Amino acid sequence: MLHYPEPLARLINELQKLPTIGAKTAQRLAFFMLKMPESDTTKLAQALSEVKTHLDYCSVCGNITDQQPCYICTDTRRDRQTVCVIEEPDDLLAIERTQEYKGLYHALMGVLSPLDGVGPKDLRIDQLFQRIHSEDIKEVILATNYTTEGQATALYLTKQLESLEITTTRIAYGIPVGGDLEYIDAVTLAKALEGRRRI
Amino acid sequence: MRLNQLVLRNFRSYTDCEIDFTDRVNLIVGENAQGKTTLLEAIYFLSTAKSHRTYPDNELIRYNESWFYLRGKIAAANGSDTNPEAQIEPLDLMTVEVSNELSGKKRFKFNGVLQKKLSEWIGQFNVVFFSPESLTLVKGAPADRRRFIDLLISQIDSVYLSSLQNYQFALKQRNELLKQIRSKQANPDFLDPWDDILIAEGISISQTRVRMFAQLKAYVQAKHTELTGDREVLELKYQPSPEKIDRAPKQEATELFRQGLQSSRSYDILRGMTAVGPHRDDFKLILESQSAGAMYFQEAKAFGSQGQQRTIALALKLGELELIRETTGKTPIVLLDDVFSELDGERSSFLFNLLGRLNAQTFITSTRQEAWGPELGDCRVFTVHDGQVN
Ligand SMILES: Nc1ncnc2c1ncn2[C@@H]1O[C@H](COP(=O)(O)OP(=O)(O)O)[C@@H](O)[C@H]1O
Ligand SMILES: [Mg+2]
Ligand SMILES: [Zn+2]
Repeated sequence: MLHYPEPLARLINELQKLPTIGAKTAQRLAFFMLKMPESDTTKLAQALSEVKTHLDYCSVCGNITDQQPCYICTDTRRDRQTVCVIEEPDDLLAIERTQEYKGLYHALMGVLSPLDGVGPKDLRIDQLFQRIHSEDIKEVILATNYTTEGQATALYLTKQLESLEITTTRIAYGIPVGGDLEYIDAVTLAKALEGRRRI
Repeated sequence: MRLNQLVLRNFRSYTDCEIDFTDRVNLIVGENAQGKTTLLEAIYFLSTAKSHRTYPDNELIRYNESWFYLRGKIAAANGSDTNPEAQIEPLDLMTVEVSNELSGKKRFKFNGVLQKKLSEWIGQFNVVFFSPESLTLVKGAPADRRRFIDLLISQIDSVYLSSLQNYQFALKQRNELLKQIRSKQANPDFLDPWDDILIAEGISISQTRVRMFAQLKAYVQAKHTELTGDREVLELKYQPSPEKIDRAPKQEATELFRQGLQSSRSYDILRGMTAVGPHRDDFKLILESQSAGAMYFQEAKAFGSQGQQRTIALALKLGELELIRETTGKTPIVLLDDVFSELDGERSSFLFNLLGRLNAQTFITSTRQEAWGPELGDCRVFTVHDGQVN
């Protein structure tokens, strides 16, 4: 059995905790870092620790931010009557990239999943209702994923929102733009047909 | 469909083995525990991503190894092969590969391309497996019959498999939630979204099953009559859950299902399990016979003789073969494990004549070389000894 010096073993061990990084990649990265100039490793270490000290989740929408509330929540030019409900803050970046959406966001920080012990109280659902009551919100767009849990979460919220005087919508499911029907899997195609609209 | 070549690496008793097969009958001969069934199991795994006999898949990994790998080279008529004229058309060649690591990582490649969805994998090449254990279709539990129906439909309808996977996942979530409600950790209202998903997927599963079952029934009855003469009639009755859902149009079926879930909710919470839904479906096999002018109805499971039950199991499997053949236009590969010990001379010659007529590629295992008779037709013999094939 081969033994690494303690500090190296610790670095490998920490790197291995990251997603998609296995034992081999962790080793490669660690040895690469050993060879990096010290100025670079210091910068990396600093960046890592600042991410935690300077960044936080927006107290209103859950976005990752260095100011409270975040730049989206404080932007008065945005449509403040529409809230898009997403699972995780990264979904916000995906939607922002489209440059189509001008409303506000609300990240739930997860989805309903009894098997993982996640119920409505573990998500930022109460906060969503507080926002609906205190802000002037007219439409809620449910943009959770089309997985079983994402769908269950959307169905749960739909029911909870029913009694309120707001419009609830669900993002559409279907064929990617430029998708050639012949190459689209049968399941996606069947769902797209099911969700067809009059034009 | 034809399996031209099979490669097995670290698969049960096989270390590294490459076998070229013939288009018609491949007779696999060897003593007990030499690896005959394992060859059929490998072919079955390439087709269905499952073993016919074990779970989890890690049991298939050779002792002291950390992975197994399977590869099949398959030829399929470009178009239909059930139409004799299509036989001359060029063949599509496909390579299918499966690997499984001890860590649980499974990879499926079709013509070298990694496949992401199981529903896209299953159905690329189809097999029908018949062995002494097929008797569980008649004698076994409802779960055995559901597995048969589910695999059959999954081979011809990829939307079905995806609905089934969603349904089973939502069911697990719901059952977990029921237990949390029972111990006062969750609110009964939280069940609503899971019920909605179960209903949406369940209705589509149920309707597909009922439609396919009607077709299957016709084929099975025809085969059963060919096997037994007109002495007795086999009746197959689908029993959906909730009841009567099979005869209702979609809207009404949805309502029936919703009511079923609602009315069993408190019972479900008590038991921590969902009592209603297609995961409780079954079908009954009933033998109708006439004697002294009176009709007799007997459930095959309880009252059939061993011989009657075997005949029904064979009829079900041949019905499966016909249904896949008619729906996909391609003759599935037929895997027969130890059937000589199971079927008498009359029934086995019926079977081999039929497979000869269908021109189905067939794999037969036997402990006896003499099993090979003229009724098998054009045949290649492989002897298996201790994980080696000659
Ligand atoms: N994971 C495994 N690794 C190595 N050998 C195995 C494994 N699983 C089963 N075997 C061996 O494979 C043989 C069973 O093969 P099988 O195909 O069932 O035989 P048969 O020729 O009777 O059909 C037995 O000798 C068994 O010990
Ligand atoms: Mg065997
Ligand atoms: Zn914000």
